[in-house]
Amino acid sequence: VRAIDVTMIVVGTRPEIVKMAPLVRAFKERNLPFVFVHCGQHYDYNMSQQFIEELGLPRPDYGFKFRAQSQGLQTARILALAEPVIKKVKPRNLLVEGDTNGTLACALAAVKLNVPVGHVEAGLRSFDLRMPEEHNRRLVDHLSTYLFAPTEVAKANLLKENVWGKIHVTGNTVIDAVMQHISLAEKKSSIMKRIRFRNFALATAHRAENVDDPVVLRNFAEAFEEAPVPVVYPIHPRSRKRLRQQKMLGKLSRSKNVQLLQPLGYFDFLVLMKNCEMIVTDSGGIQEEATAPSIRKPVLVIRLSTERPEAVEAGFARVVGVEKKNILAGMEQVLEKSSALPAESPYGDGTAAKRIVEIVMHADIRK
Amino acid sequence: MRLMLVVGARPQIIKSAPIIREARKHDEIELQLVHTGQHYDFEMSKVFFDEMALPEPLANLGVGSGSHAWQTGSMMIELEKTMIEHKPDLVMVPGDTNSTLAGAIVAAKLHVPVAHVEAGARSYDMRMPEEINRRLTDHSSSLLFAPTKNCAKNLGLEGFPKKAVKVSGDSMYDALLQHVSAASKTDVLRKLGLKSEEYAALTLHRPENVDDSKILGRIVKAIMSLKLTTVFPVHPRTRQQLATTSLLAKIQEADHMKLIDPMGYHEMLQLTKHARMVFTDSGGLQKEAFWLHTPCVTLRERTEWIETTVSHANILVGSNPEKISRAARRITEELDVKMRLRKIKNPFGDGHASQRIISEILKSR
Repeated sequence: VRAIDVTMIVVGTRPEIVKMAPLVRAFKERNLPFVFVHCGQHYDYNMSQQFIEELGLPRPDYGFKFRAQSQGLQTARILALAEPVIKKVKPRNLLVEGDTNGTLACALAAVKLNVPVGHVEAGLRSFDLRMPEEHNRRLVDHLSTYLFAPTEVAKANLLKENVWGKIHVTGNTVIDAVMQHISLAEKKSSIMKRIRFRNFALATAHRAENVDDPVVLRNFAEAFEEAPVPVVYPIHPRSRKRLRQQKMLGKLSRSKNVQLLQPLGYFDFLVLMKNCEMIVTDSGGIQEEATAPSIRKPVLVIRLSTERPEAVEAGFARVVGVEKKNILAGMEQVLEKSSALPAESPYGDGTAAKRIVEIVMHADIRK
Repeated sequence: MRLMLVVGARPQIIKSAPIIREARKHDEIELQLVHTGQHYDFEMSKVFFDEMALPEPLANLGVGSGSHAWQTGSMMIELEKTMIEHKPDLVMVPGDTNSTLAGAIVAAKLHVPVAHVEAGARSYDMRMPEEINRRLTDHSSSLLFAPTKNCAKNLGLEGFPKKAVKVSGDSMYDALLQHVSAASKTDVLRKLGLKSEEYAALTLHRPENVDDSKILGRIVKAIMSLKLTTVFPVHPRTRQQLATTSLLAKIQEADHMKLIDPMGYHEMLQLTKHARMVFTDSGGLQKEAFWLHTPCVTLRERTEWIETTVSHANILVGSNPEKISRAARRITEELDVKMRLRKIKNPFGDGHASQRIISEILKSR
């Protein structure tokens, strides 16, 4: 195989590793050459390595291991680090996932070297420009040659913006990932032994616009304390710090209705999702994972907007905002509601990665 | 309001000059001019600042040239520090260079609103780094100043809300009107021994034309074979590439070829105005030729200034020798081509784009 046939697959954050894992496997199964790049920050590097190993993925061929505080600096550093690697490898194309600064920086470095970029999870829009992710994904969509839209909604967003690349609706690789990982997770995780409650809601909150706002943070803490069903809350370090600063951490941790956990690994989290009554979250990816056939859980989105309208339309998710009374009312409604959730996920049937690989391969042959 | 204006490359300084002049008329605007040093450091472009009568920049980042990602990344690092220090209320980025994109991304990430001057230009050729810069800058901006209606239409197709897009006219046209009389006072024609309308002007700098010496040779030979007196202000990168083959010597030996160093703004305007035709791969020169009613032969496959191609005022020929000579013949054979071009309606505004831009910015507060 000539070096020029190589596809470069880039990951940085954990969600990116999860969502690219099915793609890496699909490349391996077909014996297609690829170079695997981890563009994450230094402090995250060893944790990511361990995670990659747990998922049974190959070691990344390149890791950037940089340190940067601000959003701009992160983007700038990765941009400068990615370029020499792309120049050296000369990949036929480069695949990025999602909407982080690393996604943008690697895609921008590639396109400026005339390496075609494929964007996995293209076309997501919250239409909320305060979110740095919204800016990143929009820019990546506008520089990509291949846009792998998870749904028709995402495709419609891209058409409305007259993107230059070709749009393919593939489904979301996150469903592939859940289906590929759930049995491994149940084997490896013992988290259920540590949970105090038989029936519980699973809560997460990490978004800056939520946890950095003391009013919103208090709404969340009080809603969890007063919830109609006990709440298991794996707590993100950022949220823990903020709760402590606002003197809310003590009360929350003493609440009989709440079990706080340290941040969880992917496997533990999958198992908790599978065993909970409902999920209360401000995360984007969890809204999708909850719809996978092996999870199928109702989700309350504690945000003002969502870039995942498909989960809402299919009846899995509801945006309840950030007010305490709305969150509590939402939880009550989920408990009362008896109608079953749909059997199928709006994010595909778990074959997104296969489709993406087919498209990338065909594009190469045609050239 | 604190208005930060980020410039780096020469054409950006030209299109910013009228905006700077207009901004200085308003006491409520505190102008923060930042020079990234993309093409030249400030010392080297000082001549240029003097020619345009511009104030000294508040900050000179001195980034210098390098690969795209390195340059963009380095500028982002410096621009972020500058923005954090000077706390602009709005960051204005003109054009489509790496400085433009770096300024837009950094500002957007700091949640400072971005205004893009020259928004919505599209060549739909993604191999051009400028096309990527333009698109991504537009999608980082909340205020988009389109130089023409067509540019505004392009933005509409990309889903921008109508109220974010303002058809302002082109501030580069403002600059041309403000400087054309100073340009006519230069003695560049006499200095080079040229007679009005009896010569052609040639500029070449784009990587796709210059980096491959075969393509460069093809273009230059095609133009030399026209036997037109041709002034060739040569870009340093182009000179370097010409020197790798015997081409540089051949140009220097040919009587009808006048190889000269790059020129200042005034001299270049005067040269363009009096040329029989212009051969170029630059974006800005296509427009300047159009405004000065000089026929343009563009050495590119596509242009983002599609407005200039009406009535064959600008003919796209790529690097094809056949097309180059056909276009040149067409122009030389037409009796009073400039008179005809003078009648074409100018879609780039009325020379008051900078007033509109500044007044919209004041309204946006």
